[in-house]
Amino acid sequence: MYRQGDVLIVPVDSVPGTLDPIERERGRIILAHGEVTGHAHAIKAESAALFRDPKLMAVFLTVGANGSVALEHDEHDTIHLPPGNYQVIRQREYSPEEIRNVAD
Amino acid sequence: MSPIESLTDSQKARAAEFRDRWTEIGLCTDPSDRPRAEVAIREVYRQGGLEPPAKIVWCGSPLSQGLTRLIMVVKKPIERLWESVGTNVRHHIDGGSSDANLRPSVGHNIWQSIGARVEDRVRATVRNSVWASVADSAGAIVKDDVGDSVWDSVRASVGDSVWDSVEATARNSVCVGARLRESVEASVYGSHDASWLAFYRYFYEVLGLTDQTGSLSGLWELAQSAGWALPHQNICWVSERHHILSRDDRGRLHCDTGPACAYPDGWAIYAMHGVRVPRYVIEQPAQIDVVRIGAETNAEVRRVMIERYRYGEDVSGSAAYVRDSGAKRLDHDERFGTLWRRDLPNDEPIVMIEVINSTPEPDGRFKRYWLRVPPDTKTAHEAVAWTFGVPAKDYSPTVET
Repeated sequence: MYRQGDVLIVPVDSVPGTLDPIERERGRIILAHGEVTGHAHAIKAESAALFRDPKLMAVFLTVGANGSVALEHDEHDTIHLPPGNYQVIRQREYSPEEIRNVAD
Repeated sequence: MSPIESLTDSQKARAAEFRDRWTEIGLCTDPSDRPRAEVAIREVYRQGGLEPPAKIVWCGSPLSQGLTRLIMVVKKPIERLWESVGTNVRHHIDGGSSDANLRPSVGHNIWQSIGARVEDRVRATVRNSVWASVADSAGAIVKDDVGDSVWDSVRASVGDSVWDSVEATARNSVCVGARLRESVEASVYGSHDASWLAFYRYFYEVLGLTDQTGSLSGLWELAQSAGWALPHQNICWVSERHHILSRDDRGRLHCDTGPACAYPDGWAIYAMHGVRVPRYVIEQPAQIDVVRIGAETNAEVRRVMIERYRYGEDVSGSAAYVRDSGAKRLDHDERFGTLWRRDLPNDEPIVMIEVINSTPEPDGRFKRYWLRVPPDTKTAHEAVAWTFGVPAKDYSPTVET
């Protein structure tokens, strides 16, 4: 399990069968865009690919068998991900329940 | 004529058109069309079986309208109230309001003789199912957009504003407050009547029930030309429409930089996602402090204050509030961070995990940040795991940067 800032990369045995590929942006795959700074969690290597599972609303990453790939970010140290399948999880924050007026 | 049993498909299809047109009327921010509105007011009186008013007095907002009436009705606290109203309101009250022999409000008569009768007549002509179907498709959405989000706020704010204005003369304000509410109750809501007017307009135009609903023509015209009106026996006050109206994507009054609703005389309503808040919360958020947040008894308003606390700073909102307000430290774990809890009356506690970036900033310092987690979170480990949607027992990164 790897963590780079607000992104968690969790190894999984396999990825689901029907996935939509997520296109590269200027040659890189982007695991997550930074909300404010525009800095992204990105991989340049061609052997990595990113997919979305529309049913689970989940994102998966595959790294090909020929070696580790570098996950880079401007504000965090690079992480080397070995070949395998991963789920990519973005950090979230809790929002309180809306206050309901009892009189409604 | 036999009752209308059901709507045809083409009749049903027109409901959307009424919904859209009357929502636009209700949310209109154009200046009033005064000549058109004055003709409409006289028509409303005639249709209510009343003599048209001798005088029509224009006001800048529903508040100044209610206050001018009040000044004529209540003799005693007037001077002090007048002083406290503020010049912007005073200057925008056109025309004299010197009519000493003020006759009673006729808003109720108008409703009885026009609104209630139209309802009886239409109900006698259409089956309940038709009534309900038109109410749902033409009226309900206009009500959500105009009624619930705007009219309710304006109505409540008229009351609140006067409480603020006359705070200094609090002994008289019970009377003043009640009288002002009375003027709110007695008003005809002009463009804010859009929802029920849309509903009957549909019967008029689409189902041809012109005899049953024709007596609303004055109110239909007034809604399209002015804001609220306050009809009395020989004088009618009428207000400008709001000239600023800002709503969020759910249609609730919302603006985080200025008034969400404002009238030409300067009277304004400040709101975030439908929650009305004092002006400083929006325009001078630097004035929000821990003491003021603690003193706020309304939980919704307090949430907005916390959200706006230390606005514009690196650490703002609930994070800054938890940091500054003496929150309770629930847990600390070198690997995961510090868990804090701040209890709030009548609201769920704010529980936040304070974490430190693993990678240093260019200046060598480690950036701290706060993330809110569910209120029942007990440990720092559980908190960080929750932010990634995994159980605490499964959360153990081997590499973290």
